[in-house]
Amino acid sequence: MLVAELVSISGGVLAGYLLAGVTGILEKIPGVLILLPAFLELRGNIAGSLAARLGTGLHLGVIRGRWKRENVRRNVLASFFLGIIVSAVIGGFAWFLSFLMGIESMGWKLVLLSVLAALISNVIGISLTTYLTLMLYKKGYNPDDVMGPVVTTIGDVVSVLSLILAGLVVVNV
Amino acid sequence: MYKMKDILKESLPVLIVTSGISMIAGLFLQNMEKALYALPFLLTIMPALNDMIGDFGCILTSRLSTAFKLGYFQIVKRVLLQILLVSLISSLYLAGIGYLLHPNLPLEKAISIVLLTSFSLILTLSVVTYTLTLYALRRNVDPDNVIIPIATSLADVLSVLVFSLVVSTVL
Repeated sequence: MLVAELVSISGGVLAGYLLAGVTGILEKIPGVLILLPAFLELRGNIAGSLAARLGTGLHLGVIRGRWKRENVRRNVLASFFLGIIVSAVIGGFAWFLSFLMGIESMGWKLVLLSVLAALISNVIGISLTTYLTLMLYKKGYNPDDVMGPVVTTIGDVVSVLSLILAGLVVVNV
Repeated sequence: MYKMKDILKESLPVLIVTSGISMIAGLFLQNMEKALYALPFLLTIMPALNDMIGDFGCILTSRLSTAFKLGYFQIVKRVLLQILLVSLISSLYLAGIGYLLHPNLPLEKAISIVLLTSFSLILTLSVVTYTLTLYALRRNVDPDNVIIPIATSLADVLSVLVFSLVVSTVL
């Protein structure tokens, strides 16, 4: 329990350190803090479920031979769409909440920011999750045991990076 | 096996609800915007602290539920002590790396922010998960399925709230 926790803390600190390094950019994206926790959690949830589904599929033997491509493709696409749809909802929530509470924000651009960041982090996060899960299984490990903590840690770092990148684009729109 | 429509249909509502709950944490975070941008230490430790509290909520519930199902009620005290000990070491570790990365905040303040936040939350979460786990078992609901998501969502929101309160007190 202690070792797992210390490893997870180290990953979390990396994500936080990235955030702290770009406060200059964050300050130019008013309202980004409202969607930050939800966005970070969403990445972990989506990648966690994807890894768990792939793990189950691999153990059941439905992800192999001629079904391999088809079943992996469906799982990956489903996670991809989930990421985009829920991120749009998160952006909308953030816009609505900041409007409701009179918090200074970038308005509808929060939706754009969230969707753009989701696109970037989906491409990186989902391919990494899929690759790692399949690779671990092939090497004889049980992905269900390993992927949970790995996914939340990678998810945090990837989503912070994506938010920063998307923020740089949106600020200049 | 694995139809996209089924995955979307099952996952969407849960993800939207949990995202909505996390937005409350986002509001608390937005509220302490000035402190976060002024002190990079806070922004650095925040994601890890948040994850850590969530992890403890999950560990507490699953261990309590296993203990109750086995009828080992006397083990509860030991579970709590173990979690407090692990959280003590984890908090010191987190405050330590935070301090190494941003030495401009005095070490004793760094430690007291992390320790006060994690201890007060673990005590709160212990009471809440203990009560809810017993209640779930009495209602014949599996705490592992129902109380864990509640505990982690609660931990998510409360950790940012308590963090902002502790920060404004300590600084």
